[in-house]
Amino acid sequence: MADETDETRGRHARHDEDPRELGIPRPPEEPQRPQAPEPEPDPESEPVSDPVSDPVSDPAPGIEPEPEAPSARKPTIETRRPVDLYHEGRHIRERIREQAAEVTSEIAPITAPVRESAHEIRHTLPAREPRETPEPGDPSGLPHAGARAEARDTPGPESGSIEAAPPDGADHDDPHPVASHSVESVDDQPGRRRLIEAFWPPRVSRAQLVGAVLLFALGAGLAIQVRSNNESDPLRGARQEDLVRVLDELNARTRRLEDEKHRLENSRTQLQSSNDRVQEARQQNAAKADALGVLAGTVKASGPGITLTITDPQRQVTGDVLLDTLQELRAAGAEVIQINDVRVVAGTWFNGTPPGDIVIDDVKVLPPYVFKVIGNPQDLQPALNIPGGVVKTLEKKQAGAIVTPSQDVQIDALRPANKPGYARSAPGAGNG
Amino acid sequence: MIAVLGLVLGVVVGYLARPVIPHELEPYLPIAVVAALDAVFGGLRALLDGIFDDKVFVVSFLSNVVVAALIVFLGDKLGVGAQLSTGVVVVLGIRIFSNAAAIRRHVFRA
Repeated sequence: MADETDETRGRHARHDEDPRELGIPRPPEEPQRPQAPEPEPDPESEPVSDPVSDPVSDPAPGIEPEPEAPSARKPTIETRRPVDLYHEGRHIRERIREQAAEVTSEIAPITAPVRESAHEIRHTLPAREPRETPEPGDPSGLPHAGARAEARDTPGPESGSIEAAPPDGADHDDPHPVASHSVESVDDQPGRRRLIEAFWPPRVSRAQLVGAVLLFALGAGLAIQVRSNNESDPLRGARQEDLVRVLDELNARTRRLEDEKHRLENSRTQLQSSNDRVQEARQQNAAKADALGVLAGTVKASGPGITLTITDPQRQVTGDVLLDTLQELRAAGAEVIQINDVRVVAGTWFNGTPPGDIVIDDVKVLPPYVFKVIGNPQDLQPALNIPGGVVKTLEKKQAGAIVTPSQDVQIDALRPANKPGYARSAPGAGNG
Repeated sequence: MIAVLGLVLGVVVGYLARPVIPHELEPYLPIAVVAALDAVFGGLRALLDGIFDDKVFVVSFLSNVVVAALIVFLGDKLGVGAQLSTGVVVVLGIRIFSNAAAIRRHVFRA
């Protein structure tokens, strides 16, 4: 692109001096052009500089004296005196004027119809003129200072003034001078006009098509980039090193999290196992407490067993007999025993001295005596019925004994649990 | 006019069609877009200067894009891709600004 701007500058610089050259190729179509400059010297009537400047400002070919004049004059300018130069210049001007008059008269028949047609065109197309005038864009010299100001906005009056300026048939220049004035204002005006021209009348030209293709590519790229940039994924379009860095960070973080996970898992298993142990211990303790409670008579008990009912109408049954019966039951494997409302425990005692007035553990027990026993019925029943056993003994005393096996003996008499007032379990004991 | 239509059409197509950009080219797209913007501004300025030449425009557009992408590619290979792309963007931005200033002088005469 650097070359572009360089070129731009180069061309721009050239452009400033160009316009007159650019105009050259076109004017030859109208040979009348030379006439425009020629009449002018007349009113201005400048002595020497005029002929010199004329060829420069109006390079259009067509008049013979002009090419001659500079070549012949230039060396002389340095040597001759100003008076000579003045005279010579006057001669030259007179000659030029003569020739111009000749040419004018020759051309007059041609210019007249053209001028008429130009008038017609101007009248018929007053509105189109301003737009068309810029297009030719060929400066034909002779910028009129007065007309220049009007050139921009109002081509109508400006063209009229030009028409008035050349006395001879210079009407053909009318469309062109408008552009010629723009030579001076090329800095500001034509740029905008070119822009508008490029925009509005939509023309299909190669430049437009090429621009369209490239701008299409630009627009598409722009839209794609904007769109992909707007997408939520911030990693999209990230470059490789960034991605690597992100990946590293993610890996490190994963490792850290993995470690933490391991740690937490370990502690969880520890806690779980300890929890399991605690639960197991608690269950064991509860079971043991149950067993001990059953033995100590602090909890209710149920299970298979027998019910032994001893009727004693004669009041012959003493505490001894009941104690014997109890011993027999225990020997047969009785686990829990209740006599009437008294739970039998390890420390149970009988006091039966006056027959029929039996006390068990401070509770007076009256017949019938009902033994509720939990144990194996198949063991307990024969143990009571053996020869010389409890039943025989009771029969001898004319007391009735009825043994009823049952699968569900409920023992609901309880004893208060005595909390030891002083004793504490020693450490290391009580684990079993 | 047609060129502007082309730009609008390009934006619409790029936005709606969402063509898939090859993954290797993705980092170069933004740089290429900025370079193309620079070329377009240069072309606009040339148009205003009256020296617009479609051939120059095409060549400058394509070479801008290719060179910008090449610089970034080279930077990626050298390990200074981020810095180089920043540099490219800065340089192109400066050029865009100077071209925009020239355009502004043309359009607003200020």
